[in-house]
Amino acid sequence: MTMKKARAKVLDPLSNDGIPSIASGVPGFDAVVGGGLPEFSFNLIAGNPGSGKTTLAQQIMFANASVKRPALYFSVLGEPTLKMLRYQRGFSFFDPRLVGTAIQYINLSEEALEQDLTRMLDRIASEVERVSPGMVVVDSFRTMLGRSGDAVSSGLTNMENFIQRLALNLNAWEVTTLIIGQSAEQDQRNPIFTVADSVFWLSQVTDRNSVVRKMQALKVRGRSSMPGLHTFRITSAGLQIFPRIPEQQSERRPPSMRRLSSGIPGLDEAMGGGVFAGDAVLLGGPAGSGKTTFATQFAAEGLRVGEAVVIVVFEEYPEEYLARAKARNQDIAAMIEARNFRLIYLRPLDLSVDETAAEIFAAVTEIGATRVVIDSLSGFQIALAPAFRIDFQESLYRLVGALTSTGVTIFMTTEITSGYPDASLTSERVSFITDDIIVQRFVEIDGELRTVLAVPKMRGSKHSHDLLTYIITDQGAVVGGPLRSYRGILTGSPEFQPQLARGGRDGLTDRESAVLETLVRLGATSRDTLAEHVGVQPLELEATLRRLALLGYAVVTRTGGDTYRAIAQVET
Amino acid sequence: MNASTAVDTQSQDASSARALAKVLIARAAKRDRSGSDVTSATVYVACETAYRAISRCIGESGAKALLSRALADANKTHPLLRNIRLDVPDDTPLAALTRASASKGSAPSAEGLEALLEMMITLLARFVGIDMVVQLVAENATVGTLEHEDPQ
Repeated sequence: MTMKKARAKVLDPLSNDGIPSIASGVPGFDAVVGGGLPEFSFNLIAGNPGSGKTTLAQQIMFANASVKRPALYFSVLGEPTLKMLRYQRGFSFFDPRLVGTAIQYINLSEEALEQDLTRMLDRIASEVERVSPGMVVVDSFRTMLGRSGDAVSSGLTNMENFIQRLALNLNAWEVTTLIIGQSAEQDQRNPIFTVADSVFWLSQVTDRNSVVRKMQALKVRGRSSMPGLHTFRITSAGLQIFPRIPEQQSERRPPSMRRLSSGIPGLDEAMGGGVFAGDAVLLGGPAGSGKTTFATQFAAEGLRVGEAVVIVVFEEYPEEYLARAKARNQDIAAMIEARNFRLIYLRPLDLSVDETAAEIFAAVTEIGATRVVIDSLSGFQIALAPAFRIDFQESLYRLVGALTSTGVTIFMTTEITSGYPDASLTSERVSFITDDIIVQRFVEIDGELRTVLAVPKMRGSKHSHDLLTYIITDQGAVVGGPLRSYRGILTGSPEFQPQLARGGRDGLTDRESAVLETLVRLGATSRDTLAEHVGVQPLELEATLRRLALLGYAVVTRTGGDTYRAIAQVET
Repeated sequence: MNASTAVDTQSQDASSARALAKVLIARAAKRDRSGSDVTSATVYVACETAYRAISRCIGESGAKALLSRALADANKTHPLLRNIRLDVPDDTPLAALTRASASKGSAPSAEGLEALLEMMITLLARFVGIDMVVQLVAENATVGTLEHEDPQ
């Protein structure tokens, strides 16, 4: 049998320290380690039982073993080899065809039972000499040294001596070594922590009903490893590590001067001309205020102008979410089919922010997305394992920073649950992360529930300071003008103040009021004639007329050219 | 897996185990140039090869445990195997097999040892699958025979 492919890969021909790196084959692992395992290094994978040590070692071994440079897997005591093989072969990385040739399993239980470390060392040395492997795994270190951890051997006086000789021996044969340990934290004084070039710590933490797995690169000699605890998941594909999003190493890129349309008539004007590309926008509002409608319009507008878009949903099932989006944005169905769209649905209750971020980054990279919608942060927080909810703010900060630093514009929604009159404009815990904030509110006017919004924050841009009305139509949300004749809008029960009326119509901007008045006066008329009477260029009227039509103040007739007419109830 | 599928799988495993045992014996015969006349000594060599490979992988204790179970199952159909004792102090399983191969005439011994080999492979296959047993016991020499594809 011939193996056509040498499986070992060198990630970076020569890293900063001049030592080639070995690709682990474990998603996310190399990023944490700082570019992959250094070739010929002596590494310790430590952690408590069940934390995934053996699986990690096997995954790395299967990714690198070849007939030319085989791997030797020394089992000592503990899990019987047969059982280990039985369970490990369930993983997709485990290729039985490599067993016996590219990967050889060798059992050292007899030597270990006799606690004869010299014999064990001799056996390892002779097998290494015979096979000339590229990688050696020893499972496990603790059982190799006996329960007490003391070396009891005629030829070796102590554990340190044994470890030193093992490392030297394997290093002399140019072997990359993975030692599996079951060390408790207090064992960090163990000499193997000194001898090892790298120490990887796997742990699993139970918090209420969820279990969270984490990995830490305690030490990686000659590499700039990523600090902190990185969550990981074990699936049928093996381990997948979700590196913490690196803190921004350099200054945030200069703010973009390019404005993007939100796709919501009237909102761009309120935001001073649209959203800056690369901004993080937060839309907060109570349940039923239309947050998802706004979010999907933002996404649909991106698709309409040829951008790739990722939507991340947590609360609704994707089919329902898309059905609603398609109903309001009739073009979106075709745009979704155009493959420049991804809908990520995440609902498990044991997610980490880093895992979510990994999903989002993968989708963004895959389709080259420039708009990301996260709907909603409230659902996102609930989907996290309890242990991660404490760090939600900090983790979100890293997620948003990492996305926007690449130029992606993020539109996030969040539910505001506090009631009047104490309702704050934004959720304090996340507002500092965002560049732009839009807040929605319900208000009661003349016994009718109406919706208003405000733009309290728009980084680097002038913006409206009015409380603007908006409505949700069959075609989506439309933002209107301010409620000029009312006071105390934020209390939820504004009072009508006739003396505040300034001649405009409630819910319309000054220009819209002026255009509507002219339209009433002229009757059915063309856009150009209307523009002439209002005193603006015809093109400038497009958005105004569209909003007047969507708000129900005007209708357009498309026979023999567009003709506009104010509708009856307005005329009166 | 339903009962019917389980039976099918077991039947396939038994068939593959038989094929693998034959391959190991053929290899041993080729090595000692005994040709088509398979003696108990030849089958012993095949058993020894398999036992050593298994022992290397799962340890002497594990291999002995597997052999004991195989012996218990195989001697139901091959009474000759009842003479093999694995619990004799200071004796090794291979020594016990050697004595068995030398007794009761070559042909019956060869048959019994072949059944033992087959059973050992079958038991191992129940744990890790026949494909991995092929790799563990016979490595690449049997790959072509058992229609294994070349990886990658």
